[in-house]
Amino acid sequence: MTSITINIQPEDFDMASEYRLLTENNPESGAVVTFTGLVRDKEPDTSITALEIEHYPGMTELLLNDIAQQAVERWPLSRVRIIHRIGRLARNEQIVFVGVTSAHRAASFDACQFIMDYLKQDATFWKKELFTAGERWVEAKASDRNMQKRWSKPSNG
Amino acid sequence: MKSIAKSSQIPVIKLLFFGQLRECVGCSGLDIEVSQPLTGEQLIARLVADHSDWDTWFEDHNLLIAINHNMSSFDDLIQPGDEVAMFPPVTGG
Repeated sequence: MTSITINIQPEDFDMASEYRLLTENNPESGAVVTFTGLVRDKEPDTSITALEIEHYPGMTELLLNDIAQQAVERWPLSRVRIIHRIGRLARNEQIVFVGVTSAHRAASFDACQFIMDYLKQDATFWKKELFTAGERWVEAKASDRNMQKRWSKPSNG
Repeated sequence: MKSIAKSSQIPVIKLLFFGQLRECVGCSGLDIEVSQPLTGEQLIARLVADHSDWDTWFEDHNLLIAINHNMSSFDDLIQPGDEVAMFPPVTGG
């Protein structure tokens, strides 16, 4: 049975600990794939000073669990760990982590990307960028929806 | 079984706002008294009638609605006692 762990938290996470939690006592997995998202500057001349992230308590947890369950139904995964931070984050800080394990690498590569694509499109988080000169709410991108589309299963003819 | 005396309390919808919507209306949520089901569109009409300065936000912006933690449409019926959230498109990850 696949183990799914989801954490929504203000605290930073430690990559080494997450890797250990994904791999310890997991002898059937030959592959581990992880993704980490960071706070970055969008434009060269505009340094972001902070990123504020809020979410919908109650719904976000359900959505992330649903995304993880969809991944488990599509690929033979052993473990899935998802972390998304909330609150105020500084430049270059870690925002989000997705880690998956499977017997072979193809499933882990695909599942990790699937989870991130769906998280970007569906999970109930909202971000605001803070600069020295002001602040700006991040807007949803059409490119994220397009990335999600690539996971649509072909219909049976 | 004999019916008990009716409570005088009118049921409410627990309404929540998130993201830029929350910031611009200056409110993270409120309880709305409703005695019968209504759609999200009808709920917005009530909000704008009660808060005229919210008009621009609800008219001009692309908003989403969730009812009891399920993504819904503004045509779906909201029942008294439901939790409803309105928010801009999400930007997590």
